[in-house]
Amino acid sequence: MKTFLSALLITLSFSAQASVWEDTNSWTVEYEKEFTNWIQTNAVREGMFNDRNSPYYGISTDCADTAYALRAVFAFEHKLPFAISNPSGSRDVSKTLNNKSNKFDYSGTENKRLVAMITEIGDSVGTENLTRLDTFPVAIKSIVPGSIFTYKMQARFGKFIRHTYNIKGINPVGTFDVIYSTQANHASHGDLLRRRDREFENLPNDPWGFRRFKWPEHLNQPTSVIPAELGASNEQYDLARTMDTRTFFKYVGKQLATTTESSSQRLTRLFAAICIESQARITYVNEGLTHLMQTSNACMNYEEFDAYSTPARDGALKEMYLKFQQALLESKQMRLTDGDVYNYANYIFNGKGNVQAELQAACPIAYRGGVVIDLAVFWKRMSADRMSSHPNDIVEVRWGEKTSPATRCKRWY
Amino acid sequence: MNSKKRMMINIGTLIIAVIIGALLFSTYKKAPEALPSHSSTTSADSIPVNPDVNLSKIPQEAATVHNDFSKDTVCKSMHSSYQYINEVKKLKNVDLRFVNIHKKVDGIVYRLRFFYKESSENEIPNYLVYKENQKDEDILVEKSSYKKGKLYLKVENDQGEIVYSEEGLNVGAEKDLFLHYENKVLKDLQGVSPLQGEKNFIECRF
Repeated sequence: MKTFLSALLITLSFSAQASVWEDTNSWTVEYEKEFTNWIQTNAVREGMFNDRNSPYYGISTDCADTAYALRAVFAFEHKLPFAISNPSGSRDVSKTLNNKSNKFDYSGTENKRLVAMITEIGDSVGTENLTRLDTFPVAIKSIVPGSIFTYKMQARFGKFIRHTYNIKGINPVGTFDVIYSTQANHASHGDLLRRRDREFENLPNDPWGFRRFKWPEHLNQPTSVIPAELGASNEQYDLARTMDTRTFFKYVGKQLATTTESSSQRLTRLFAAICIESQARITYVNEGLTHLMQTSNACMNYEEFDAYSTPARDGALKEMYLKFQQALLESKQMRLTDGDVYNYANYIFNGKGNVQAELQAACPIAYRGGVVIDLAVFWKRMSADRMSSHPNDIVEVRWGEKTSPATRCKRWY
Repeated sequence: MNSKKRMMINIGTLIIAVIIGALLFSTYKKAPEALPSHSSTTSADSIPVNPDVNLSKIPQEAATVHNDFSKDTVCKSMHSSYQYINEVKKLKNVDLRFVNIHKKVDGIVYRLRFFYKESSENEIPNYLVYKENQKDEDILVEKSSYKKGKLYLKVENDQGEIVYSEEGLNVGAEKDLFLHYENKVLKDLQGVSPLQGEKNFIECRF
């Protein structure tokens, strides 16, 4: 009994002083390649933080937190150091928040300490910390899986919207397979989100753009200390100043592509993208409608409006349709006018052809009981600004089926 | 008055004028608090034609430099323009991005943090309170979105000693110059230099 108690006390005293994990390795260019390989594997998947059998069960992240979480998990698995600029302030001893901290002892096992550390990071940082303090910009050729893409875009009334995508893979045609989260997803404890064929729409604008994580020893240091193999560079910003958005990302795609994409492949890819995002709108709108039911249709306050309105997302979706329309024009110019997707596009934008039934079957938008529309109807309503982004509007008005009665609740922005 | 006497008076006047001129010049060069106004006589190609930043607040010496100056020169000029945080806060288009205040109250150090989280449609102000333990580790004890929490308000209003402060803010119409201060001292900046005609990115550490 005495021996047992002694052992218990020793164990407790050790656990009371435990780092989140002990790092026995150091970051090298080889480990960066390993990180690039790891992020492409199935270990990094939508359910990795929600699956009860996952060692990382319990992590819940929004956009920037997801990038930190993935980096921390990899460092943890490879016994590498992990550090970020201390969000609460870099005074004296606490320059960084790192894996050596023992302030997460309360949470128990090593895995749970990791979850606790990531949770605190999630509570303490945003995309601005990630972009400005903990990552560096890379040359186009140095964009690899494991890099991140952050952006800042101007929204209504002088507001800015920021976001982070984690590049899980680069497709043969130079588009991105991304894994990420959002504030709304974080709030609903959803799986991570994934888009397997993403083209970005926001031109890099320093420091926002393609970036990679700094090693702990490089925090608060000039980029000149970063090993040349990692490709620290302001190239993207120089290019972005001389190109429009479409030209820039076309250039990026060409630099990263291992195969060329035909016009019809591009059309097919863009069709798939607008289908996914148009259907995703059903979820966003329904979240607002569910909240309205719970609050007996009360006018939403500023915070609720933040959570359930959709002006920026609707704007981004409209841009995607315009890109699809542009691809249709290019196909026409090249006289590449064959294929189902070409016919769908021609029907969506020009009302030509007799493919309504096929189009609706290919991408049904079932936004309310008993009502299904196709993408042509969707675009007709969206391009005519009939769809409401106000979360207090009724479902028919949200989807442009009717334009009245419009809500009289305050539009906060 | 004879000519010799008149000459002496003229020389005296000249000396006084030179002294006054020198004093005015040196006062102007020092002028730490008041950021001098922009002169309309500065040539158009040498002025940053950049509406993002309130040019009227940029010192004359910085505004007249040309595009081919070295990074060091730009950094020095920008440092002199933005070194006083209280002055910078008076500029138009200032956007406070984060604040960390470490405050000792009754022997305990609390860290108050304000920053923004992103949402799909907006950005959300967040207020955190950490309490330092005996090892100076920051333990997160309160988090609140949109509004300051109870403890945050209490610590903010309590009498105490501020032992550290850190602030990050963006300036300019497009908020594209980021300034980072520790204990009111400009530590680094990054973004589009308002001192260059082209929108070149600049990063300086001090």
